[in-house]
Amino acid sequence: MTSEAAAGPGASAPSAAGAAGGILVPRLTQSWRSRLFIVLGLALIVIVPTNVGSTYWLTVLNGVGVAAIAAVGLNVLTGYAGQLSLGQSFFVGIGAFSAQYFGGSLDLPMVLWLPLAGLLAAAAGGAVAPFALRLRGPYLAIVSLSLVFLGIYIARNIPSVTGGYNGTVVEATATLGPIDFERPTIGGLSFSREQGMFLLTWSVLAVVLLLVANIMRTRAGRAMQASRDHDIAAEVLGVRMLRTQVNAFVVASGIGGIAGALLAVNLEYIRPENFDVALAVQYLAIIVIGGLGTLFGPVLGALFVGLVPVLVDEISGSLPFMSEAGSDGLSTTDLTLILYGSLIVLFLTLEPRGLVQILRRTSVWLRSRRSPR
Amino acid sequence: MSHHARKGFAAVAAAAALSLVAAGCAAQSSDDDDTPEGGATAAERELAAVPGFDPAAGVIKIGDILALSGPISATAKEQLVGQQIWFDKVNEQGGIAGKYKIELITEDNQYNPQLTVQAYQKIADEVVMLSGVLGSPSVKALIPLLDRTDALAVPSAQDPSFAKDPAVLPTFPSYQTNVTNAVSYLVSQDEKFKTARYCQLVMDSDWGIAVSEGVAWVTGKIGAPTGTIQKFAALDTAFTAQITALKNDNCEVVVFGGAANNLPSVVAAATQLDFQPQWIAEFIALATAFKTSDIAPYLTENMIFTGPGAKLDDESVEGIRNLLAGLGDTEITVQHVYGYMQAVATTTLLEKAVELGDLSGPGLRRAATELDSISFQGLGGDVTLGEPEERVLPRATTIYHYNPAAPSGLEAAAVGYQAPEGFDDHF
Amino acid sequence: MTEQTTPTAAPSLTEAPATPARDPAPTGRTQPPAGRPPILRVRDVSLRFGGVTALNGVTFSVEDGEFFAIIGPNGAGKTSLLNVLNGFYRPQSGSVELGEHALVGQRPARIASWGVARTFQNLALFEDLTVLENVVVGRHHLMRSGVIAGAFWWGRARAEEREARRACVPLLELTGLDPIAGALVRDLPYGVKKRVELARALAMQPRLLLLDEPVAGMNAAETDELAGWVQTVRRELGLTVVMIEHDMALVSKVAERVLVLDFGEVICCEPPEVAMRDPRVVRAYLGGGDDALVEEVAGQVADLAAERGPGAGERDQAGGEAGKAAGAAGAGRAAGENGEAR
Repeated sequence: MTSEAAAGPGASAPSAAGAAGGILVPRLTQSWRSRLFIVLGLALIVIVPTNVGSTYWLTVLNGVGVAAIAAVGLNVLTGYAGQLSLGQSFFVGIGAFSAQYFGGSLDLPMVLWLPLAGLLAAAAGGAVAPFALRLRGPYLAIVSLSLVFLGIYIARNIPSVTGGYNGTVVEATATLGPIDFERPTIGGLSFSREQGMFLLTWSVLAVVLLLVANIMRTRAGRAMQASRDHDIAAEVLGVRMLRTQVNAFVVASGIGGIAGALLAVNLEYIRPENFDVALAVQYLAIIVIGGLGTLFGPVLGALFVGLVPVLVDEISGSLPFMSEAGSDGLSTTDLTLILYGSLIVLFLTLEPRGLVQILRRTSVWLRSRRSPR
Repeated sequence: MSHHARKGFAAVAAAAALSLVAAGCAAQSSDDDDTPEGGATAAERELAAVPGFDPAAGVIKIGDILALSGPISATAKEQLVGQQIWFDKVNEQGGIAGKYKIELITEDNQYNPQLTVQAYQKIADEVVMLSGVLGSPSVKALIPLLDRTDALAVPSAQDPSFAKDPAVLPTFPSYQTNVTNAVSYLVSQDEKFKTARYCQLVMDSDWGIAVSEGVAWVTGKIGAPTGTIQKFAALDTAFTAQITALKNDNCEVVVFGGAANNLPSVVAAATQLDFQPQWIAEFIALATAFKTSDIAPYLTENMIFTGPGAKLDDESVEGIRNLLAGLGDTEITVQHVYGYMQAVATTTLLEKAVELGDLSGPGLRRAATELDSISFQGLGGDVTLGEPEERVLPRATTIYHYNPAAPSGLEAAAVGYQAPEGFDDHF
Repeated sequence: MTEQTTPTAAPSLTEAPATPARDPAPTGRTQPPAGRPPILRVRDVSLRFGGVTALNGVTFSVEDGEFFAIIGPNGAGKTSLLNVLNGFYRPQSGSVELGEHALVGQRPARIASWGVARTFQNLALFEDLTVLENVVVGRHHLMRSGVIAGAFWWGRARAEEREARRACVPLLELTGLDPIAGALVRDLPYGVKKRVELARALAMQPRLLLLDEPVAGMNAAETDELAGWVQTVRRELGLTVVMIEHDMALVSKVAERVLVLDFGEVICCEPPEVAMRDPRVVRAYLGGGDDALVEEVAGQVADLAAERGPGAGERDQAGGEAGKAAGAAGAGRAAGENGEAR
């Protein structure tokens, strides 16, 4: 990823070396600072699971990773291509049950079930895309919402794949060649399933981020952003709306499917109700809180949505005015919900462009403080 | 720019190497397996410390994962109170085996399977077992994890599939059994129910399917005709369509598979349409507050309820006596009974495990197979244990008439009723 | 300019087969002067929305390399005509030909790929993209790589991106945008945004450039600056331009011929200075009026045009504004020459 990022063209035009020399190749990173960030992030994928032993924290972080992947997908559609969708949990569901079907029922290896889950969801996304061409804004949101209900209904009625109402235990195994993510061993050391799942989930997230970054700096992704900002102008410039729409839906739902497959192996038990409207709204909340149409927004948003309630819960447990479990009065969950809700309102009021923007401003502020006047 | 790349790789490599060095603290040596040997008898051996049990402190910690917030938190809290009453009683008498006090740790799952798994991960290293996991979906979500760590939980759920699962200590009769007993009771009271038309108004969920299974089985056994099956969603409040359909189908008995938040709307619609069949509902459909509400007369007139328990003010029953003593001024409900029964199952298992000298997960699972059965101080039928595949859920339930004067509005009509028609093997 | 391949005007126009049966022009001289071949032929185009006729039997043609202006009062159907040309509106009757391509019934993206570029009356930029990215979108139809090649940053996608950017750099230099290539468009002032739009249209390597009121909302200095840019790029790239404009000073300065529309019909088609003196045109701008008034205003306009350049006015305020507009336009002209000299 880093080598990719830094690999410039051997031959940049000498004449353009002045003002335009740096712009000839669309780079992933603009500064050493962001490069350092990426290296640090990649290192954390290994450092966190090998040093955090608590299965609880790892489970929380694995949930964050899966949600981040699904949100990165939704961000392609909503953030970059400007199509408001409340249907991402439908595609995540397709991925989850596909993973169990291909990996569990058919016992295929992960190199097959993981891409298949993505492909199946992508195909469903491609089929939906033409409808979205005629529907904009809230209308598309409503139609995508109905996908979620449709999905739950269908899933309940194909028990041979989904287990129907009862759901199904996930038997798909997460092994890649010699690496067994469910009981990873390095040297003589063995790690827990949660540690292995962290490695798998966050590595996939890194790959997905790289792919999305690449798409967005090349022709197809630029077309998505252009049609988001001004669809008429984009069309006049030769951007084909249907193609662009299908691209956005296919990429978004394909990534959603991958997230679903990872959700399935993380949860080990899935049922149609898992993939409901609440989940779809959560994904939307993640990208709005993190920052629409930004690469790392969904990751920050997922960390916020996943960690804030847990952290507030940790803190509120030690507060004196909390009620005993079982009695009436303010419970820790109540307090968590109140604080979590207030934080969302606060953040979005102060910075409607999301956590990414807050982070950017903070770093600019820090730099201005550090530099001598 | 290429030297940036090289620096990047170097950094990653260094970080990876560092993290592996540091990994010792979060990894286990592969051949780490020292389960206690089973040669000496328990009396001779000091009980080994396991996560959640410290012999020096003399405390056994157990977990309860239930919905402390959300629409069914009232129900959950009553269950928790019921559990605590029995644990307090045991602690008062010295604790498990007369020396180990029980401490209960609660976690909120909001009735959400995913949060249940998270909640369990949070407390897994602090408790020896779970005395409650609220909701069938939550229990199912937890089973793979319980299996991986050889742990054990008491379900606050009545799905019959839990009966033979080694990760679960079954406690309650199934939904199917509840319904079978209730229909059988009606037939035993009045011949006309043998030929009555049985319909259903059930939630569109696995619970609804379980209820339908029970109805199909027992009506087949008694040879009664069956009518329409109307469904609804968990949060529905409009039932006019369903009630109209039931009325038009000339239903004489309607089995209701829904919760307390649905019942007032159902009664409202039935009253409005002047639809007065014989209703059968499970205790879950009932709230104490109904006693003073407008729907009380309709319930009195038309409904019977079924579930665990006994005559709720009968102090001659040990479980009821303890509950009443522990509750003080609080009015007893079937949910209190339900929680109390979970606590009884938990302490019975812990006594056996201490006797066998092993409070670890595998030890508790072995204790469950060595117990023949658990009885519930007169609050319901025994559960048959032994090897997982031999286990049988309780068959006896209590049938209640509705009577606002009785505790919780439930007047026991038949305690420990068991359908003479028998039960399907998998109920 | 660099020694790099400068985007030249689109592949040279393949000689359109001579069409023997040309419709007779309804009014005025709508055929280009003999010599250069026509690149755009519009024949008898009528467009209706419900009961409203937006265009009625419009016929004209534009020759290769010509600077052609369309003028007319508000609501005359100018923008509708532009929308027909690039495929947003489908006329009920008539034909539009660009070289060998029949445009009626084609999607805008298709027409774009045949080399028709356009700018918009109100800005139509991609606000959350950088200046360079906006311009590179202009080359969309010249590129081929798909979403998968892009995602994996495969050879073709990578080479194409590099080539596209290399091709856009001279355009940025030509429009003076190279120092702010990496700036987000949303942060730029209005005049600069207009230039970005122009550069983006040029990146399409168009054979025909449609400009919809390029100086609307600009002050005199900005107008002249933009006029300068337009002149420069047209000369450098040898473009054919069709421009809608209200600013008569600009029109008379840059346009070789004008098409005057009123109520969807062609009034005349002349060199600008002739058209502006034409009583039919004056009457259209005045929105009626008796002959005496028309004659008087036409005389004034002619004088002003002879003196400093003619002015434009809206239908309902044409008379009073004529002098002021002419003054501003006149001042603009001198500045415009400065801009051109850059």
